[in-house]
Amino acid sequence: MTWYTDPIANDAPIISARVRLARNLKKYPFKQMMTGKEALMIIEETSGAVINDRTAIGVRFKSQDIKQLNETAKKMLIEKHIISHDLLKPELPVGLLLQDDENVSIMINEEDHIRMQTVSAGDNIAASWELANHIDDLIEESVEYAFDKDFGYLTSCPTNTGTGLRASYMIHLPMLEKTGKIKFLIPAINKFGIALRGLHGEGTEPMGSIYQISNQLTLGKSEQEIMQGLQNVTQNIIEKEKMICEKMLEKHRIDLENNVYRAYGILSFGKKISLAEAMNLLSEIRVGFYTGVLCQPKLNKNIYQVMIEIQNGHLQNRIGRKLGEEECEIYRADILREMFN
Amino acid sequence: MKCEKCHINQATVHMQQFINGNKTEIFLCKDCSLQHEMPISFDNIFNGMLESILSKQSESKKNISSGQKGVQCPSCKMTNEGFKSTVKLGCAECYKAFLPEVETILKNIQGSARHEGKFPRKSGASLLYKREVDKLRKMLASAVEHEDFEEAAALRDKIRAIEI
Ligand SMILES: [Zn+2]
Ligand SMILES: [Zn+2]
Repeated sequence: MTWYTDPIANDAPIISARVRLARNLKKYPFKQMMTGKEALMIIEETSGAVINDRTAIGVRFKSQDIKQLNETAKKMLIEKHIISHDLLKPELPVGLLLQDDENVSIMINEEDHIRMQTVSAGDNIAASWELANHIDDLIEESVEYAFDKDFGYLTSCPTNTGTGLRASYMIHLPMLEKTGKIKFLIPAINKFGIALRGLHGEGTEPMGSIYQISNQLTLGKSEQEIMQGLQNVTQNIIEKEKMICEKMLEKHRIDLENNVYRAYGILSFGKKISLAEAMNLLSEIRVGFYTGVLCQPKLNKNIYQVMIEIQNGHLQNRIGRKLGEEECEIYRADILREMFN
Repeated sequence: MKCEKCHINQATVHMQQFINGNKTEIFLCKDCSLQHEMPISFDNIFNGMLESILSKQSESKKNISSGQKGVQCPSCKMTNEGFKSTVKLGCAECYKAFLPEVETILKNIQGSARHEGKFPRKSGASLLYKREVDKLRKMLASAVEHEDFEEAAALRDKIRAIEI
């Protein structure tokens, strides 16, 4: 099951758990110094190592030619967090290996030769790690990694050296955001080498109160210690979020209900809606469901999946052509009305 | 009136926003108005930090050896200047070519320059072994220096046992 389709994740602050590993092949220069020809050879060797593998997992991967995809398809990959914007920069040949359920993706020639990513629904970071670790071993069967006995896995940027591990949770924090407490949390958790940032929205405040929390340090600790540190800090944040939520239910229940039901009303009847507004209203619906305030039948759908499906690339794909901003707003409202009626 | 965002506190700040060319007015409490700006992402702070570490380091280096031209990686031809300006390594060999800089940077941003995580499954065993022998040799040298000959003898036996 693709991670964002699991409705189980509607009932808790953590939406998904993600592991990213950065790796480079020993015999080629890193991104900064490689030629186009070398870039192609790196794509070929990495793809070969994964796809030609006759294990159960190798056959599940397909290679995608990013440069041949149309704008809509590229947008959708970004909206699903499968690739980064950097992978679309035109400088060098790049590659993408994608597992059939899209829970595992391997970017080739992004900042490092190999950036593999595994995602699972809910808070199961151990499952994501096990899968990434397994694929890492599988690739290493046929290539030699750039590795140093003291520095660990060698990466293009020293911020990834060592484990090359970025472990993260996607987390919904509406209460901490509304009460303004989140801005005090960000510097406080930075001291533990953990970063918290809004996942959507540029320049302004994050849309839908969706945040990403991840480790920033990759060296000097084992992968297990890094993930444990992330878990501890995250648990702490969730407790704070839940505390505010309980207080709101106790002292301002009518205000909370008002927000949730107004959101329900607009989503059920609106004819035109911007992405930012839709995300923020869906965030209220999510609060409504997990607090039990919303008595309507539960959506049989992961709310984060809805948040993905109403983004421009996904809308264009559904309609089958390029859409202007206003058209997007209209089609977005259509989808939401249908869902909430 | 109540803050339009948190609906809890009293609104004390009046803000104007422009969305798609339309002016909207919003009344917020002090907390929510402060939060109205996106927090600085850790990445930005991080990059700034890196650059400042590097420039400090290159300054001190200039003072020590002003005559010495930039070091170059023998494998990928990345220069010290190139490394300094991008903060990106050019290849695996760069880590050796710019060893003093790399060690300083790693200690500063990571708080450590020693990997404690996974070793590659296939090629890692011999590296782990080499790392262990290196460590024992260093301990041995230190024991000899401090004239702790009992300890030195024990370490020498340990190294021999591993090497066989
Ligand atoms: Zn407020
Ligand atoms: Zn180099």
